[in-house]
Amino acid sequence: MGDITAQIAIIGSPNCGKTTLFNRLTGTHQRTGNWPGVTVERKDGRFNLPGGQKVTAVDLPGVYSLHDDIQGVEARVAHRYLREHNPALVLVVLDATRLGRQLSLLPDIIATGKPILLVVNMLDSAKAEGIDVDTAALAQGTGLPVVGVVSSTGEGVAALKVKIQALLEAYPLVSESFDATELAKRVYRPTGQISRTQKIDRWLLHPFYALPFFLLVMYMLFTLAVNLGAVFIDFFDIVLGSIFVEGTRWLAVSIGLPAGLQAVLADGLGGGIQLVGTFIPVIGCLYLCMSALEDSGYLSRAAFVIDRMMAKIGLPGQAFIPLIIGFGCNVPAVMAARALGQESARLTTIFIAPFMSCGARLSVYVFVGTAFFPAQAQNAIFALYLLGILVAIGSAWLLRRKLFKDMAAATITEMPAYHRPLLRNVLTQTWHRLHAFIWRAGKRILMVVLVLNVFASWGTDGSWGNQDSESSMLSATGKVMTPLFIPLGVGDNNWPATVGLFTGLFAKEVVVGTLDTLYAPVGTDQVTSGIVPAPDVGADIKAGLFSIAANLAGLSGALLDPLGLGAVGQGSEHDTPASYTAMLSVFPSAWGAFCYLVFILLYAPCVATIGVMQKEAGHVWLGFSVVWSLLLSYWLASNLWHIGLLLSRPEVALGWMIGSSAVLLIAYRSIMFYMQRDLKHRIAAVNI
Amino acid sequence: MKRLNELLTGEQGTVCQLEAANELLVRQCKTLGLTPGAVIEVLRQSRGTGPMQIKCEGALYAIRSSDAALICIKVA
Repeated sequence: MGDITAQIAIIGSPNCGKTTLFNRLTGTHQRTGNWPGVTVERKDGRFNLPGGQKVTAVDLPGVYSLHDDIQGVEARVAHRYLREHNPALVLVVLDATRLGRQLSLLPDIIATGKPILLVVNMLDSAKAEGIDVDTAALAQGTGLPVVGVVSSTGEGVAALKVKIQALLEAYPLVSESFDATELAKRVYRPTGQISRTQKIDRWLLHPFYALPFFLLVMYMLFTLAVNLGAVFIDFFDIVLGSIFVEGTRWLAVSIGLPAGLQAVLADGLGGGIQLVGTFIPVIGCLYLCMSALEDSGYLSRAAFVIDRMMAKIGLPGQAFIPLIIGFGCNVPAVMAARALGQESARLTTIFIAPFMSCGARLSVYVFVGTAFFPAQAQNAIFALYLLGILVAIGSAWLLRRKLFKDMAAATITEMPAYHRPLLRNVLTQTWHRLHAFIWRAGKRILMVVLVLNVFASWGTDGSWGNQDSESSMLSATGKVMTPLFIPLGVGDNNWPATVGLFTGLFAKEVVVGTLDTLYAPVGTDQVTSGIVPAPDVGADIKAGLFSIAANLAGLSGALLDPLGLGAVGQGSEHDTPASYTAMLSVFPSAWGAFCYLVFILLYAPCVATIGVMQKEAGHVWLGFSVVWSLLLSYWLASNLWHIGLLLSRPEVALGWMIGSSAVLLIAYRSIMFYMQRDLKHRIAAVNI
Repeated sequence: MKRLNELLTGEQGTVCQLEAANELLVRQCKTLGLTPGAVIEVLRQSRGTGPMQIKCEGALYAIRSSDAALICIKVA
């Protein structure tokens, strides 16, 4: 015995403490992945029984029933697992506070014919809520073995392991037929007193206090996730850049690799790792907060409070959180959309989240805005934020009306009881999600960075190391494509603005660097001339640590100004960079610059967002979203520019406005037609 | 007989019928146990079109009033 590990499955309804029990049993010996073909997370873990035998536990998705009626994918995954695999034991976790309801899952599982152990969880909460649970009557009524545990404190877990061991050795074949409702009455005796959760709800869902509390929580979520996370971005940027970009280049040069390969390895691969790394702090902080909120039970209350407003754009209340996070960074926003159960709402949220002006875009607005309209920068930036929100609302409305119109929606959702968030659960959850981001989304981000960076480094004369100069392939492409952007008010000779659009795909704040360098009159420094010094990783780590200290010092300001809009006013006080003069001369007018900013806001999300969108929604939906935003941003920006031309050249302006609108309408219709067809084929399988 | 959205805060009733207008809602209610015979207590009534909070067999649910209008309740 002991050489073959037995496999046991853990199943239960959502919020029954199943995952807490799983974490309690397996500790850190966990592995996550996806169930084949679907985006439902699969968790496996190992633990030892008192007798030394090794057991593998599989955490099945939380389901109310095994019929795939409402929870399509989750129920299918759970059902298929029970049917096709042969778990030696199925632990059915039941939440003692809602035991009556939970028993209805049992007949489905008994019907699969697998050996079952009932685990009655949260006995402490049941006591606190004034509910009397009779586990002996439960064992007698069902003929199944029963163990009571409190998985949040670990009480009863040792006894559970002993029981598992005994049942793996010999499972008693006694089974009673029972009526779930009748049984519930015998086992579950509420004393009728008002539960703790209801008492807390009195305050947190209070007609007057609910909204202020909600806003406070959202404010804290935003400042903690985005502003606190941002404190550590520079650290990751400096240290990873030192190791993976400079270090790789130094290594490649010292072993005499050709320049092309140097660029691919150092700028492409190293730069990609560096970019993925800079997202770790913000995404990690967001997931810490989100996991804690989820674990506490407040997340569903937040959705309840904001539901009325979200209903107006056809989304459930839960969609509010991803959208608000989007103002900080679109990447975690897309990932946070996972909390939405309904697939059509999740896809819509993923679609519109990139229209929220993220922090990186703000830096571009400030740079261009302070150059062209220093006195009006605040208003221009406010207009851009508002425009993004309007486009998001409009797109959500269109999707709901055209694409998801046949999708029935039910708005009934369970509101779990309040719990103190468990550090163990929060940390495990955060780690799993961060891990998934780094490995799965990271791979996709890396690919795009690789391609873009190679083009940025590769010169038209075949040389390498032409970043941010006129002679790179990227700049050459930019020059060729500039005429395309003249209708946006970009100007005939304004190729740096076009190149900025490409580099903006890396991360929106890169646009600032590109514009600043390309507009600057002096030539750039020679990059790869002869010997490359080895990077001083130690000094860079020190510099990284200093950046944390400096950013922490600036954090107090961020608490009052979470979006960082204060930077808008400051820009004009600084000395104007040399690049401003060149930039002012090549843009035809300030209005043209504003139209360019409109395009920057909407044209396409950055590669990191694209990477997570592909992971979360698949390539069809990603393609739809990118094509949609490209067309829309082009139409919007060019029409805004032509409005400016209405007085001077009315025939050109009107012609353009009518022509482009007609093209947009035709494109929009054909895309919708294609998507409607595709929706039935592909996305329908992913549980709408 | 009333609709669920017409019940006042604190009122209790027994589900007597689920209207078939929203098929998904009917299926979801069945899975959650909000079937004919289940006792529902209204904890929080919405003003206008917002969601309401109800309690059934120890579990709390949020439901928009448009959907609550499809659930017929016999008030005890």
